[in-house]
Amino acid sequence: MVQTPGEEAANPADDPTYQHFVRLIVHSEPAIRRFIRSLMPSEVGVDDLVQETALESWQKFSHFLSTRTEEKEEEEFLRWALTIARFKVMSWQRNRNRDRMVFREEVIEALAETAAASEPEWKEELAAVESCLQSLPPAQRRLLLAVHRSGDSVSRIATETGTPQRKLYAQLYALRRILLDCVQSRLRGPLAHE
Amino acid sequence: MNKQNRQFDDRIWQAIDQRLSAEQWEQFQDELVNNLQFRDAYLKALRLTQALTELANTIGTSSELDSTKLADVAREIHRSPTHNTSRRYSWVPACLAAVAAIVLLWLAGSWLLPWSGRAGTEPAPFASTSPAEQETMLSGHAVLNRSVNVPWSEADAIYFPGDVLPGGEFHLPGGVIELDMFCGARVTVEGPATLVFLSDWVLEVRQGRLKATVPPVARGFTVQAADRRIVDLGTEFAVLVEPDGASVSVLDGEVELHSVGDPPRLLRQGDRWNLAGANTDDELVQSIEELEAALADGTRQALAREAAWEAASRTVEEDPRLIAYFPIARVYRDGQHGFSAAGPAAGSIEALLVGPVRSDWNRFGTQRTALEFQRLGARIRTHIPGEFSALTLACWARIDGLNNRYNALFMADGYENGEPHWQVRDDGRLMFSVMVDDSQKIEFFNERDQRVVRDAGLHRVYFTEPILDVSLQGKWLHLAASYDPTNRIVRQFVNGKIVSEHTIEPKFLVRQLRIGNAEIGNWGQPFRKTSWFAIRNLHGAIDELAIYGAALSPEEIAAIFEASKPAAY
Repeated sequence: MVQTPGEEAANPADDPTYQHFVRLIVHSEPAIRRFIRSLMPSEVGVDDLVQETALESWQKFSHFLSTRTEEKEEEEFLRWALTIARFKVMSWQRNRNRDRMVFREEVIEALAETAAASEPEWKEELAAVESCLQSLPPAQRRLLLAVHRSGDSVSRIATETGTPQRKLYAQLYALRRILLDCVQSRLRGPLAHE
Repeated sequence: MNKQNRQFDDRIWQAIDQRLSAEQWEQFQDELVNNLQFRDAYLKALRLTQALTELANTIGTSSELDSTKLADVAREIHRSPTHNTSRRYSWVPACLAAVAAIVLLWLAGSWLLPWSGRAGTEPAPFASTSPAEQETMLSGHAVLNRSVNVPWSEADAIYFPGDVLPGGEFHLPGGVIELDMFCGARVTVEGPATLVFLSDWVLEVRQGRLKATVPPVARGFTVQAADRRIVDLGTEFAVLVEPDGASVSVLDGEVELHSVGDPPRLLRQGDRWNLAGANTDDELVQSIEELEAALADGTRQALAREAAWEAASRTVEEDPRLIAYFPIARVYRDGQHGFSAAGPAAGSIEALLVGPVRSDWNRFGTQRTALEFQRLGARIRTHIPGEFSALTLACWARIDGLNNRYNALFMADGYENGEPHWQVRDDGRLMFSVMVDDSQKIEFFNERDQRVVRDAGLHRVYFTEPILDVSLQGKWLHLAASYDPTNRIVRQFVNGKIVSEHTIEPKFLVRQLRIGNAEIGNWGQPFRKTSWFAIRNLHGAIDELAIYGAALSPEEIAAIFEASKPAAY
């Protein structure tokens, strides 16, 4: 996953700095990925940007090490990496604003702020989605999962099942709304009734 | 969720799924920059899809999703109600029904019954005809019990006792309501108030005053106000939130006050606590007494309303055009086997309860004189002799579900020449018809079923647009239909307003109208040649049926509605 530019060590795995970096990046990678996706109009390009961010983080890792405070290293690293990610996303979209629908710079700025702030809640959110998903009838649950599985798409499922796309989207949106409502109410749930 | 919110949020999903046009994409970005709430909603929605993708990919290797071959998905989609050929509309029973209504409306996008299968209507992913496979889902955390003097505006939603209040923000324009949270806490609220139903257990008050009574099963019920959480420990307490201050007062038992950064604080009976701003305590306690008084006043109002109706009803019955008039609240006592008509036909026309006809609260909520036909053998039989030159049928009806293809309001037995049928189709259309020539066999192409249908007899059914949608389910409605051969016009009315008007074509004109043996709430078919019969019992209740041998004017129908409506209308 990370292409090290390390020159000193013949085998980078032996480099303690590199091992340090790997530990941090492995821990942060899912959050970086979610953050990048939040600033992108679709999945397209997200993988590449995660790679680029990781690479640049490694290239500038010594700078990070010189400025960090010891205590909350993981949190600090993530914050730092997200800043790098944000610039990567901006330049990616700047380079493509002629040939496809991308976000304007001011949109990315606005989204970045909100997206970074909500990151710490991810685990709770995921748990809430999972339990809300369990409360759906099995058929609806399977439909939702099938549609969101990487590599699958509504249009493919529509074609293969002979369902009009419009209809499938309408079902999908209704199900997502229900789920979102459930997740929101779970996250705001009462103190006394966990 | 209102329509605007839905569009609001459909755009979010469309953006996530890359379904916006270039122009819409620009507008969408503007919204993201300028509207913090929208941006927040977008990111929440996006994170939901991220979570779903993550779960789909991890669960994807387990057995659950492996069994989701696309063929299975296809089968499930095809089993869903949009593809259901029987198209039976099943309103789930009792309390779930009202809740389902909210969700269905919310899901449907259309005011019509959502899965009626016509082009252009959106499918509802939940509603099912086979409960074993799918379950209807709902959104809401509380039921409205009573409301007094609430100035509901037509533009906003109007709620009636028994309605489930939707989750999220709820605005009470004024008056007083009593609601039951699903957790069991009973809350009395004085308007104007803004509440947010966060869950079955948590209610946020942004403005207004309320009293919560919390029985032991609902212990833990929480009110959020002024950034604090008031957690109940089995008690009664009051909360007031005004622009310049907020306070809580414990009337009985104990509550725990939680605020960020402080340890919970225990408040006991008689304690008052200022949550924010100016001291409002004395006012609060006093206002609670006013709340109680307002609710008691509501009961008095209902009784007064009924008394006013009763007086008006005695005037109505003097109308010489009345053929039969059944003001059930006046002529029927719970448990009786039948009752007599009032008005000119008093003494000559009787109505007989047959089978499991049950009585329920009338539209005023004062006595159990509304008669229900929930079970399929239930019917009220009557015999109305004579020939008439015109007809008007009117009644109060509460329709709990359109479970049958046709649901009877008032039906002449044999449907012979000149006899009326008045019913509701399962797509929410009122139907009024008169038999023209029962000796003819008619074949016609039924657009709904897309096939040629044979019909016994020449008749014409006058349909309204679909008006009985789920939002009106369980509500008392005044329904009327008039057949006017002189002016060749058929009119149908809901709550005093015309909902359809049809010209009677010469071929379908009937000048001599009859009723004879007839049923309220079901259809008797005495001439059928087998033991099989069509199921048309009304899942609902009927009250105050009036039949006139003349075509009443729209103004007269409106006046009847006005004089007989309950307080909340």
